[in-house]
Amino acid sequence: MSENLNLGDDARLNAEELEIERALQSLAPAEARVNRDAMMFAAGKAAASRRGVRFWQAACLAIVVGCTGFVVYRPVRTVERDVIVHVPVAAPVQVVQALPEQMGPVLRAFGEGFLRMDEPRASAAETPQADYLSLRRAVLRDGLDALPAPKVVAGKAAVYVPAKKDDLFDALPRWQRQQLTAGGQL
Amino acid sequence: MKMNDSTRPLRSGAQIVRQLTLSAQEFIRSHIPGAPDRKGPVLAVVVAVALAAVHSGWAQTSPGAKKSDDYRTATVKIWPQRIENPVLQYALIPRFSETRKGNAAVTYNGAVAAINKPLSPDDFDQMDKLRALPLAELDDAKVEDLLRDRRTALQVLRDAALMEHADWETSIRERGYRILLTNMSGLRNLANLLTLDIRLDIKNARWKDAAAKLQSGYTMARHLGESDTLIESLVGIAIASAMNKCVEDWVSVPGSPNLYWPIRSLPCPFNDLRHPLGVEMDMPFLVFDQLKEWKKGDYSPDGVSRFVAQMNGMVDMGMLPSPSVPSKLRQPAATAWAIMEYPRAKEFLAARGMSQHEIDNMPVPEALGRYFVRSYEEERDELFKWMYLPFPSSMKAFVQAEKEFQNRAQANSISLLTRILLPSLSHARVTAVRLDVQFAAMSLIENLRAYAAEKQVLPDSLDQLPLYVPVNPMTGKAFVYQRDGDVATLIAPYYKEEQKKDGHKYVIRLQRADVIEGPVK
Repeated sequence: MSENLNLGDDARLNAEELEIERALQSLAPAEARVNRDAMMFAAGKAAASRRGVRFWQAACLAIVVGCTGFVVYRPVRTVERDVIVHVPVAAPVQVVQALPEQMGPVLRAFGEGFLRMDEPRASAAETPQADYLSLRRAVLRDGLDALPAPKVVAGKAAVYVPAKKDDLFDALPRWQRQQLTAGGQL
Repeated sequence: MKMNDSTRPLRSGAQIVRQLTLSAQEFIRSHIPGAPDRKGPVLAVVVAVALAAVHSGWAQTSPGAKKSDDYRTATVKIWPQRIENPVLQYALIPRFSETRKGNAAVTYNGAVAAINKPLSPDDFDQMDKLRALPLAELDDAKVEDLLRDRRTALQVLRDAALMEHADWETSIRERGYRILLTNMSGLRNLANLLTLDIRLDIKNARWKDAAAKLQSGYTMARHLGESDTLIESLVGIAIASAMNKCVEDWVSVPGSPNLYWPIRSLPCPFNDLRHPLGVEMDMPFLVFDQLKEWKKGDYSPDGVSRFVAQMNGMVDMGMLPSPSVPSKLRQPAATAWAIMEYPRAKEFLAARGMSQHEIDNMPVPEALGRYFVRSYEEERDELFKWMYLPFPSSMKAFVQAEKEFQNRAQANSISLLTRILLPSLSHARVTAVRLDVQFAAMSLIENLRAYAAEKQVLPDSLDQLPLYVPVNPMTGKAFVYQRDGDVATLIAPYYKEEQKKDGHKYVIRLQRADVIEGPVK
């Protein structure tokens, strides 16, 4: 409370209040009954209690035991090496199963285009060097007239046109082929 | 029984129309001088088309035209002739003592090469004419002219026919479908020249020579039957059939020795196709290495892609027809195709007793590999098995099986591999049996000649014949025989008896010195 206020307050105090003021002023402070040193001693004594120490000792002991356990029972050391393991892999059944239905029109057209490869084509007779499959198909369908004729130049003698060097080699008898091969001529 | 075994292909319809157009143009130019040039070709085409239409349609619809459902008819004039001892002196296959060791195929190729003067189109025409002429009208000079520079080839052919066996060395195990059959045309030309030579001998009653040359022809046919491929065997059958025509000439000459026992001594079936069929059955496994791997049970993950690559390789080489996709896109197309086959493969395996669990856990390449191999083998065996039963008791079932196969193929319910690789065999089988029908009929004709030599007439029924009477190999039943005086008919119906046009009919006219022959019906 400030000095100014006190002055002002004095002026405003009534008689009873002034009397209390005077009574209070007459009181003298009694001597402290608490001994500071005794209190400090008591505090030190309380602080020196063993219960806290025990707690920390137990905690440390637990940690030490734990670490010791890890050291004693450490995992077996692994050696890295390449091992080929055959693991049966399930087929991507669902994906492939669904593919034919879900294939896009382009992919489906591709597949169907491949399927159409067995459509009949020109008669073997039109291709003198026809392959065996075409020739067989034509002969079994149309008879031996489907066999290719020797090449004929209009009005001139028939001319046999050999296909390739390899074909000529294959047409030779085996002994001659072996002879040529052994002699290094081919 | 005219058999078109010329080595030249038949003319196509377009060629006929073109030829007719040219002829019509020529006709218009020469007969209508004032016709404008612009209208000429148009008119010519119209005339040509009209002529072609008449050629193809009118002949069949006109009342006087020959009915198409008639038998294949051959008229054979026969002279009575008893069987003389030794009965096999005119053997149609070389005797063992005449044969020698060696590979005939090498010598056959030599015979083809020995045709010093290659055949021109005119030669082919001349050859066809001379083979079709009645024996009596055969012009010796023309035949000699055709054979003059080719006699060496025929002599080498004889040498080949005396060889013990023929190994055609087609390398089929290594090359599969890639083999080349380049010698077929040459051998057929040789056989055609040989028939002319035989006809000449028969006409001039040189029986020993004719028989020796018939031996060459029949043996060449047999040697071709030893080859690996169906085509070569069929060429062999065609050559044997051409020799049979010569035997028909033989019996038509008075005094010709009776060939009953030589004909009976020929193997029956003459070419049974067993070996080439065995090759055909396994051909895909010779060509596609991946199929072999799958068959061994090796289902590696990249098996399908390897298989697709092998198929594409075949397409590149022209072995398989090109798929209808651009070549650059063929690989993805093939892969797409393989994916499309997968559900079908699963269905197939399930139908064969595999559990759903097994199928679901099976890698896709394995499922496809199992499917391709197994489905091919099943379809193939289902067809081929009928070839191993006697013709009369199995042919209908065989044709039915083939029809069902075709239906499934059209319905796309058979794997592509099976569809493109499995041959249609019914025609080949019928062709082989037709040859045996001819042999049976000829031995019957010789039987009739022997009977007529003794009784001076034809028998009323086949039961009266003194020697063994063969049945029709196509039906397993007796030949149908009817006699009307000195004319008899011998009918070998087709295995589908209602299909008359595919059956054979021989009109047999007995010739006698005291009978003046009338026109042939």
